[in-house]
Amino acid sequence: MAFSGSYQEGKPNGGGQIRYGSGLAYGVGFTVFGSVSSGGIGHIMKDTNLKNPGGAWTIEQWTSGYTNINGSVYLKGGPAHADLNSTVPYEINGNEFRWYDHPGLEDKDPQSSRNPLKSYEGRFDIAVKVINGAQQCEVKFRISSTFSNGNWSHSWGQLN
Amino acid sequence: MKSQILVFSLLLFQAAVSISCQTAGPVSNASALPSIGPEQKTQCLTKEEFDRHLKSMSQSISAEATSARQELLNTAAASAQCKAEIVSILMKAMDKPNLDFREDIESYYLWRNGAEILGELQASEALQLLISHLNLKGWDFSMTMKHQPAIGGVIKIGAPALPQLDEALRRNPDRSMRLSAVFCIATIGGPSAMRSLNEAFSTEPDECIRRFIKASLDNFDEAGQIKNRADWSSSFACPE
Repeated sequence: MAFSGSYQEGKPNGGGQIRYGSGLAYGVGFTVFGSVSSGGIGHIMKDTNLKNPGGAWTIEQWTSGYTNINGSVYLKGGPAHADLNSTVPYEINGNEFRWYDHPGLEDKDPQSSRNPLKSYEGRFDIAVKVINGAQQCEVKFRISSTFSNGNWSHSWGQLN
Repeated sequence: MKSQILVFSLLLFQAAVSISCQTAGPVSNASALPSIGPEQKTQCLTKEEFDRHLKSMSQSISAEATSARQELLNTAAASAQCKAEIVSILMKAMDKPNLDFREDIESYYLWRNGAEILGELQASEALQLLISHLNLKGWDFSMTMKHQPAIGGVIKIGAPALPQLDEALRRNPDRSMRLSAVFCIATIGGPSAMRSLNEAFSTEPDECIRRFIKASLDNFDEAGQIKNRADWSSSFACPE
C-alpha cells in the first residue's frame, strides 16, 4: 500500500483533492500494488481481466463507508460492500498488479447548488485482497477525512 | 345482410387478435405491463416480495441489498416474462421526478442497486432512463464511478447503448453529460465506439472533452478496447 507519492500524474496518494470527471474529489488517495507468485490475475472483483481471463487470482477491495454531511448521516457504515471494478485506473502485468482509489467526497455538484457543503466527516474501513480459492493475502486500513470551518484534514492507518 | 357479415367478420378478427396477443411468447416491451396493485400477484413475485426487495435496495449497498439484487436476478432468469416484469417495476421505482441523490439517500441507494441489476439484465429498454440520469451523483466519490450509478448500468449493457450515447454526445448541451457519454462510449469500446468518437472529435465544441476524446482514440487497440485505463483516465478531468 502507498499513501505517499502518486500513482501517476493527477492521482496523488495521501490526503488532498483530485480532479476527476466533471467534479473535484476530496479524500485520501492510495495505491495498492503487489504480485502473486504464479497463475496470473484473472479478475478485478467480478470483472474479467480481458488480457488474462484464465488467470487464477482475483484482486478485490471491500469498503464500509460512514459519512456525515452537513450534520446528517449519509453513508451508514455497516457491512462492507464490493468496491472495485475494471472502471478504476489499474494495471495488471502477468503476476503483478496495481490500482488506485481516492475515496471521499465530491464537493461540487454541477447540477445543483442547493446543497453546499458545510461540514463533513468520512470514515472508510477498507480491505484489499488478492484471492485464489483458499489462498488469500489481505490488508485492512481506515481512512478518515473531516471538513470543518472551511478546512480539510485527513488521516489513515492500518486496521488489525 | 352484407353489413351483418362485415360486423361478424370484424368481431372474429378482433377475437383472433386478442387470442394471438394472449398466447404470444415472452413479453418484450416492459412498459406494456400493468402496474401492480396492492392486492395483485404478479406472474413472478408477489407485491410484498417486490416491496421487500425494493426496500432493502433503498436502504443499503451491502449484504442485505446484495441478497435482494441476487433474488431479483434469479427471478428474472426464470423467464423472459419475469425479466420484463422486474425491469418494468424497477424502472418505475427508479424514475422519480426531480431526483437529487444528495438530498434523497434512499433514491441514491436504489439507483446504485437498480442500475446494477438493469445492467446485468442487459435491459436495453432502460437505456433512456439510465442515460438521461448519467450525471446524477451522490455526495461520495470513488474511482469505481459508483457514485454516478447510471454509468455502471449503461456500461454493463454495453454495445446496445452506443447509439443513444452517441446521440447524447452529439446533441446534449450539458458538457458534463457529454463528458460522461465519452467515458461510457470509450469504456464499452469496439468499432462502433471508435467511429462515434472519431466523428465527435471534429464537432465537439469543448476543448477539454476534445482532449478526452483524443486520449480515448489514441488509447484504443485494434479492437477498440482501452489499452491502459490508468493512462487514459488521466484525461478524464474536466471540472465545471
